Amino acid sequence: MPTQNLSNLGVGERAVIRDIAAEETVRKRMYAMGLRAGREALVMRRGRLGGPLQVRVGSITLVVRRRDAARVEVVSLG
Amino acid sequence: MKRIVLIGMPNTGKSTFFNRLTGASSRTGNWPGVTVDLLAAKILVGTEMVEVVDLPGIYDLHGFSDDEGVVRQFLENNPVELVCLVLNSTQLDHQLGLAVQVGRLGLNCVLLLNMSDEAQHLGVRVDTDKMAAELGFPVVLLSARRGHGFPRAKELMTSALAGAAPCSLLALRRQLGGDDAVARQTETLLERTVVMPVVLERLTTERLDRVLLHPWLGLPLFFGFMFLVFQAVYTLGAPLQDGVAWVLDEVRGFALQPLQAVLPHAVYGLLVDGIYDGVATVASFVPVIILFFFLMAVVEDTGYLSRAAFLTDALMARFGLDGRGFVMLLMGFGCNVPALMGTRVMRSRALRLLSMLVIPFSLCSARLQVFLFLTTALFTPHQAPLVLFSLYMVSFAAALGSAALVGRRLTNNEPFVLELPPYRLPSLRQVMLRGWHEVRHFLHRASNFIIAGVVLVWLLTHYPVAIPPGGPASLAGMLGHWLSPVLDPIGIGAQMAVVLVFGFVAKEIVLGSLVAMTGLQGDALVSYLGHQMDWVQAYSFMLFVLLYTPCLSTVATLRSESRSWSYTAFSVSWALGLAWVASFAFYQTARALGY
Repeated sequence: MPTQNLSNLGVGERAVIRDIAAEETVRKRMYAMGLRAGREALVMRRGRLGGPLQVRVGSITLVVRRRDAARVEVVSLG
Repeated sequence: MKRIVLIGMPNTGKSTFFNRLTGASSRTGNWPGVTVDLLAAKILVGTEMVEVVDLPGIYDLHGFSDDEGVVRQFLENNPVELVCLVLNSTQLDHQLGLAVQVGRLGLNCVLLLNMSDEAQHLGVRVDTDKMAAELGFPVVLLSARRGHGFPRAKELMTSALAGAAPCSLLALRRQLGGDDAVARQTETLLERTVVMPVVLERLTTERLDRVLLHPWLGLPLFFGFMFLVFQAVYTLGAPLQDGVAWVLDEVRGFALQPLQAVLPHAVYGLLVDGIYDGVATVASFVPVIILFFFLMAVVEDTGYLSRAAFLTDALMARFGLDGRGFVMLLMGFGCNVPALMGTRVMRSRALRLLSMLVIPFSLCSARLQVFLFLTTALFTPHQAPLVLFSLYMVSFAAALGSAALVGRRLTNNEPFVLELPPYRLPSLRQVMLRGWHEVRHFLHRASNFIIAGVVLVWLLTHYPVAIPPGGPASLAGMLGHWLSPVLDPIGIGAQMAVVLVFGFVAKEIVLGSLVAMTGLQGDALVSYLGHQMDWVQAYSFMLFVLLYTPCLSTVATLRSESRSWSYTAFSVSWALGLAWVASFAFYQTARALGY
C-alpha cells in the first residue's frame, strides 16, 4: 500500500498515521500533541494560500502547518 | 506548610479549577529552580492551611517544551504533598497517559476528570472506581465551571492530604521509564475503564466553524471581530482612562498642591511632579488593561483565538510569526502593554520573544494623539488623513519587516501544532478573575520601573535648579544639544529632541511638554510649530516617534514578560536603530529631491 504524508490528503480523507519522520524532539512534541503512529487522522479543512490543515485525531482537533504535516507519514483509507 | 500542585494539559479547565479552589486570593511568586512566575494561593483544606500552586499546562512529563521543563524543575526542586491532576474527560484517549506517568512516579495524587458534563453529553462513560483501583489513586468526575463534583473533589483532596509525606523527585525523566511501556499501560487502562463513541459529535462547533472558518468569509469575519474588540476597548476605555486621570488630578490639586507651601521646592517637585505623576501614569493604564483582558479572556475561552491563528497563519508564517502573534499585533494598535502581556498564550519562547519584538511598532492610541495634533498643525485637511494612513502602513511594515529580519535568528525547528478546542461559553467568573490577575501583575511589575524612569526624566528636565523646565540649560536641554550630531541628519532640532526625551516616558506627555516648554497652547502652538518645522522635518519627527519606543510602561512590560534585561535592551536598541534609519532615509531623500 502506498505511503503518503498528511499534507497531501484532501478534505474529508481519512488515513492511519504510520510514522513521524523527524528528529527526536519534534517527534516527541507531535506525539504529545496526539499525532501518534496507529491513530486515525481525518483532514477537516485545508487553509487557503498554503495555510495549515485542520485535522481530527481521535477526540481532538488540531491545526498543523503543512511543513509539519509533511513529516507525518500516513496510509490513506480514502 | 503542605503543598498541592495542579498539573494538567492545556485546555483542560485547570485554571478554572484553580480559580474555583482559591478564589481571588492567588498571587504570583517564585520557586527554587524555576525561572517563571507561577500562580499560587494559600487555602484551607480540611483543617490545614496548604499552598496550592498552578503549574503550566503540559502534554507530557518528559517533553522538551519550556512549560514541561518548568513543571519538571518544580517537581525536582520543591517537595510536594499532593498532585491534583486535571484531565479533560472528553479527550481521555489523549490525556490518560499523563495519569499513567504520574502513577509511575509514585506521587500522591488525586485525579480530577474535568468537563464531565460535556463528556456525558457526548456519550463518554468512565468507570471511576475501576480506574482508581488500576491507577492506585482516587478519581473523581468534575465540572470546574459549574461546580459539579467540586465538594467531592475537595473531600478526596483532604483525605489524600492527611498524613501525606512530602515527596520530591530526582531526575524525573529517568524515573518515568520508556514511552512504549507508558503507552501500553495507557491503552489497557482506556480499554478497561473508558467507553468513548467512535466519533464525538460536536455539532454546534462544526456548524460554527463552517461559517467562521469559511474559506472566503473567515478572514473578513475575523477582521470584523477584531475591529469590534478594538472599538470596545476604546469607546469604553478612553472615558475610563480620562476618569482615572481626572480623579488623580483632583487628588493632586486638593491634597498635594498645598504641600508646596510646606516642603522645599526640590523635594516637592520630586515627590509630586516626579513620583506622583509617575504613579498616575501607571494608574492610567489600569482601565485599558482590565478591558483588554476581559475581552481577550472571552476571545480565548470561547476557542476563537485558535481559529484566528488558523486563519492568519498562512500569512504570518512567512514572517516567522504565527496567527496568535497577529491578533496581538492588532491589539497593540490600542495599547502595546496588554498586547505584550497577551503573548503569554504562546508556548514557544522563541516565537513569543519575536512577537514581543514587533508589537511595540503598533501605532498605539497615545502615539495617534501626537500624530493627530502634528498632522493638523503641518498638513492641509486633505493631506492629513493620507499622512496618518501612511504612518499606519509604516507601522505594519516595521513590525513585519523586523520579524522577517530577526526571525531567522530567533525561531527554531519547533513544530507548529495547535489544538482547536470546541466553542464554549466563557464563564463570567473566569473572565473577571483574569482581568483582575493581569492588572495586579502589571501594577506589581511595572510600578517601580516606571516610577524610577519618571523620576529620572524629572531630574533631567529640572536640574540644575531654578531654570525653565526642559530649557536649553537643563540636563535634558544639554542632552538635546549633545544629541544634535545624531538628530540633525534626521531634521530634529534641539527643542524637539527634548520632547523625544519626554516621549520616552509616555507619548501622552509629549504634547504637554511642548506646551510647558513653549508656553503656548492650542492654535498658538500650532502656528508656532508651523514656523519651527517644515513638513519634511515634521514627518521625519513622526516617523521617529512612531518607531523609537512606545513608552516606559512598554519597556517595563517587555522586561517583566521576557525576564531578560539583555532582550529588553536589544528590543529597545532595535527600535531606536530602526527609527533613526527610517527617519534618516526619509529626511535625506526628501531633501535630496528638493523638498
